[in-house]
Amino acid sequence: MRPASSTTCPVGRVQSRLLQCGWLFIGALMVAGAACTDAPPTGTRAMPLSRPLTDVLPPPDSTVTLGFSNPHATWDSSFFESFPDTAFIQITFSGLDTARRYDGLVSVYGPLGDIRGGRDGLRVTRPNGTVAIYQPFAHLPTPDTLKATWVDSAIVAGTALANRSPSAGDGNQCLLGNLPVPCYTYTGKQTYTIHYIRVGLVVSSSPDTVSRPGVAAVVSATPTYRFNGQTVPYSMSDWRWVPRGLVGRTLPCPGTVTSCWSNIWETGTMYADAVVNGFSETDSTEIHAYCPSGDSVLDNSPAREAILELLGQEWRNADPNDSVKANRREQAGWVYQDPTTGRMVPWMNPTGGTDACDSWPGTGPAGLPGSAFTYFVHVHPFGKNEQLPSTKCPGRENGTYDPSPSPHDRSFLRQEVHDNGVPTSAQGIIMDKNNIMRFPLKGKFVPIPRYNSAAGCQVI
Amino acid sequence: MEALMRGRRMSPAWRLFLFVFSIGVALIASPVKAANREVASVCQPVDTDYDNFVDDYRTIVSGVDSFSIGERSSLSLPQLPDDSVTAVSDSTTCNRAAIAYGLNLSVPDTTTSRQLYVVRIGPTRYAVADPQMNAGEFLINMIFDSSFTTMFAKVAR
Repeated sequence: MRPASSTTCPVGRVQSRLLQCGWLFIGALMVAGAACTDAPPTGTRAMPLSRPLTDVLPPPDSTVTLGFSNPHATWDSSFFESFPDTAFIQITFSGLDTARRYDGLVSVYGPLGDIRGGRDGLRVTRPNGTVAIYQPFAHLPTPDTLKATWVDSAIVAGTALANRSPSAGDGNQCLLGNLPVPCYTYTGKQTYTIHYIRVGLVVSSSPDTVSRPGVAAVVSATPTYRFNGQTVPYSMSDWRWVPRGLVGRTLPCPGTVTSCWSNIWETGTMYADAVVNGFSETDSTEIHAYCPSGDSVLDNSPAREAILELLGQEWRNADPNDSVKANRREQAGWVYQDPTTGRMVPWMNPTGGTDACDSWPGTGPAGLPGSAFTYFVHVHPFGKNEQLPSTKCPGRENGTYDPSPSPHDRSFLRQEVHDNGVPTSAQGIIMDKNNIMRFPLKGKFVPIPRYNSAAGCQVI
Repeated sequence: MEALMRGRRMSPAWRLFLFVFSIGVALIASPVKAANREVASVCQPVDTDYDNFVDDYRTIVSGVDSFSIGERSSLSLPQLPDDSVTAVSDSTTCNRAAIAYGLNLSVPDTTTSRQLYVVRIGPTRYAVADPQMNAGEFLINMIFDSSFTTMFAKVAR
């Protein structure tokens, strides 16, 4: 996501004033590459939690303070920071006295990435392999535009030095060599601070729904933000494919490529991990591949996708492959029809699953009438003939799991119809390791294998 | 009793008393014993839950899909039409089912009274479950032959 707008940069005024002042050195820096550019991202898409990889790049924050006892101090510089890898940074120049004129400068020497800036009137140039990000503060025409803090951003590499602009003289008449220049005087301390700008990662697929199982989609990962049309530095760490029902044969992109063709055999989610500007980031995209279940009621139901989505969510939260079976947890929820949009919506009870052999679907989102609930959906995290754990399956006897709706499942649905206004047409949906089972309020249940052998595809 | 009789001959009146007393005790004890058996274990009254229990076995027994075929195989059930699967309401059969069920629990128990689901599956099989014997939401089901002497499967479903 890009920011909505960028700050105006007074390019013309700055350049003319520089030439007028005769700052040849800085003027040369300016002419080469100044441009108004995008601001750093102020908002990006929601991202998973990440941690900074401080062993990969320097710590995200570093500060240098320039303090002078001499108010007429001249050119001065101090080592600031090294950027062995290209980095996207924000530089803040602060501590300025708004009644005075200053000039600040961060120079970055070394191999260059794309170096541009300009958000706050700071300039970035790259003549002769040297880059400067600096604030031509002194050249602004009126004192009322003076600010105590200036901010700019750039993609840089190399070694940075922090400076204040050259100055000479007694404050009334200043010379740089033989050239007259504006007089800059300093009071107090000025501080430069660098922040590594956090940029998210976005994974996308084209198309996001393949026409049939096995058809390829192009999957790619890239930082969410481009700075002045340039890619923020990043490197891929890993790709993972998670089938919606944890069963499938789609392969993730290999190695550390940034994009690939992938044959999508079942609905699932492609995850990518990357280091973006020094931060570990993860993003994902869901890719759909339609596989008929063979059950005409399910396949023709407007709730089909919501049911499968909810089953997948519950299944992944149930840890059905945990070898310690007592750690598995049934999960339960509802598919309801949104009264406003008419859409079928999956809803999993976030606190409904604590036992391996029991769950509670809850009452669904608040404010919905009972008639909105059309499917009671839950999972049994076991396969046929798996021994149930002796703990977390509270009861008086142990046994091996055999797939079917349990009497409790049946009676729960009946009770919801009787007590809470759930329609009599509501049905129960259960999934275990091998099957989906659909059962009506009364009557036989319908087994639906998760793998449709006739169609040769994974339903879920 | 023999020493007593050897030492002194019983009078005809005493013998008659003993005979009548014995018959009386036998007549009184017999129905009490039968009544106790019926109280100990009976069939569940047929209700919606019981109907659903029966329907689930109908699904398995009559289905021609891979799921039903697999279930029949693992539970040793024959393939039959739906109407071959019926709820049992005969107390004698339920009593026999209860004893067989109790004997095959992890800790055998034939003394606890039970109200059972007993489903007759054709002429050769019974499916039995006690609604009180559960593992989580699942009931322990047992599949027996028609004489309740062989258990083919014990599953939680």
